[in-house]
Amino acid sequence: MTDKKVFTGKIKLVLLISLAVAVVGAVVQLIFGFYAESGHSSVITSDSMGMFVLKCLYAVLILAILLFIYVWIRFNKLRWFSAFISSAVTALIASALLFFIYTIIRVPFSDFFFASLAAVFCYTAYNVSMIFEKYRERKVELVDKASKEEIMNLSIGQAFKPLLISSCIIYLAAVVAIVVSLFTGSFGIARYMLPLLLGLAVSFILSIFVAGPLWIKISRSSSSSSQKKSSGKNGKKK
Amino acid sequence: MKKAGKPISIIVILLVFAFTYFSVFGADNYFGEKRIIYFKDYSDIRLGMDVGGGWQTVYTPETENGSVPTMEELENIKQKLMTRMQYLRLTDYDISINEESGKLTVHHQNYDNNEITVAEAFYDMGQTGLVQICSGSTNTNVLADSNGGIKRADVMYDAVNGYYIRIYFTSAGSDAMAAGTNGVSSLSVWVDGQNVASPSISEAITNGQINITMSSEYEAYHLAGLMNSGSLPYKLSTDTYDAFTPTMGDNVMLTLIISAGMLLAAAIIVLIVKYKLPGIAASIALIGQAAGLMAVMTGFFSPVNSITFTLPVAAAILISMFVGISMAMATAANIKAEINNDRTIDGAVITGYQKTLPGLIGSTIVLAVIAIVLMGTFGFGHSFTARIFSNIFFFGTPVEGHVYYFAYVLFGGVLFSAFMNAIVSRIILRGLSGFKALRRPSLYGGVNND
Repeated sequence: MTDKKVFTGKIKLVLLISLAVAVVGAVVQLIFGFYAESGHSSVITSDSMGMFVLKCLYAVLILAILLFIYVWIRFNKLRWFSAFISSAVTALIASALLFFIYTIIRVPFSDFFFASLAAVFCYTAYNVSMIFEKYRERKVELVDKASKEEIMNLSIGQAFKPLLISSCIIYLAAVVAIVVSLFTGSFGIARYMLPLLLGLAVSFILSIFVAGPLWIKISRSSSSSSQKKSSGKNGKKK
Repeated sequence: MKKAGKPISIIVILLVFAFTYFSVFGADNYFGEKRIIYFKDYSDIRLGMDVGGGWQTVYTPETENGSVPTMEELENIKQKLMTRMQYLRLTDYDISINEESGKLTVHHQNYDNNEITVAEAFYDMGQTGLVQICSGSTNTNVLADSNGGIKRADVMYDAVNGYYIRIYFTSAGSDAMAAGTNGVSSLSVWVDGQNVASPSISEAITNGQINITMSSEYEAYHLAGLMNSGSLPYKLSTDTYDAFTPTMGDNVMLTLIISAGMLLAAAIIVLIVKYKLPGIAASIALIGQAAGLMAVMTGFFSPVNSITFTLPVAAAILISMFVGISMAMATAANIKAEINNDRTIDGAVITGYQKTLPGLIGSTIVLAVIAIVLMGTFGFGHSFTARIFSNIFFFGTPVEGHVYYFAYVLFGGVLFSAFMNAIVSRIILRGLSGFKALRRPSLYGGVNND
């Protein structure tokens, strides 16, 4: 059993870099303002913007409830609430970073931004669910032989290679689309595929280096606080 | 799992390739001049404005004294035009209002219809469009009209009658229909005073709905659009009518096709080089998944509508293919690990698939839930999914936009991915592993013992 924190030890570094990207994005946003496309767009212009935002919030709410139920049923034997929180936080950071990527490289916000947001969300959800599934498998085998962090490292390590290779293949497809578009004159593809590509890459890094380690941190802190509570109660009884 | 026979695996491989062929090239036959479509082909996918270009139409409301309509009236016209466009299967569009001139500018995707030109269709759409259902052969005894009495109209299709409209009436409309059709042998349907259908009836309409067979697909969708939108306050005249090129630039489809081909080729090469025989089975399944995505986009079967392909759909394809490739790799890696743990080939294949199954089911559920919620929230007000979730999702907006199509293709893609990876690939590999020549551990990523 390896005790190196290959994957779980990088959370602070990754979050720090994410914060730096967010700060740069916020500064660019403050200086240059919101860059929206006024061209052809069926989703936004067919609805009023307010209605569209309301729909987004509604979709997020329904999704949160349904995924909460799913995580509760599926990962009942793990610390499922911590798993839900860490997955949600990871997806949220990935979505926020996509927003800032759009802001930094000055790509206009259009329908494709919302589709990219949904794509990044799905991609993050898939990667994170694969990691937790691996953890679930490994935990049964190694329950008394290894610590939670060691099992998580092993699980991420096993999920890492197939996810990385599959991701590289779709990144390659996106890069090919960008390069070919420069030769064929379909510049719009390069303009919109680039932020999607960056968003997916960022999402991959977050899924690998943040979701699992964050789950360990949250479950540790919640178990230590519950231990404190129970010891406090015992102390009072004494 | 019982061992699947070698013939079954060969049959499954042939079925995958047949499905791939039909999903791309379709199948049809001519009976005289009538074309019967069995399976739709790639040309049935409608292209959005970003990848296929489109048309710009400027409408001017013909008010009685030439005055500019109020903003409220223009918004009302816009909403009704949106509903009418949805029924022409135009889902990628935008409508902008010029408050000063009172003109409405419509940008929309190309409209391919053998029955009518795009100019005629947009002329029809700009008509006032008051639909009246009358008792007898004249329009003197109106039972229900599109502004009152008609609740909803759906376009239906069957092989015998072709396209027909099912009209649902409000309770007042139902009462009027029941009373007005008692002892009557025919009805007539009128649009702006012109007779468009004269269905005969054998008994009084008392169940609050009626089916009317239409002469063509266009007539059916056009009339249903008029009934569901209600009439416009003014007739609209067409000022200008211009085509525009794809908003993403030239040769967008060529770029996307090269990129998709590269994706599939790279995935197949990596799978086969890295995992050998399990990689071959996974590659065939991956081709099946790509064919499934094509079928989702074309509608595959004749009455199922195709989607509008836009750049967000390309993003959905990317994510679906990622899921398929990742699942295939996870399975092949599990088989390789089992072989290297000294399992027999049969045992390694069975255990490899079994170990991948929980993750496959779990991730499919997560992505399917996300896709369903997006379809329900951003979906077309009359679509199948929107109807199912109409009690949960309160937005009945008739917008079948980019996010809806993203979710629709993603949903189909992940379901095909799960099916191909959990069942098809498994049957193929189990069958292939039955051949004596293919029973060397090195073909499964292990070391040869012999």
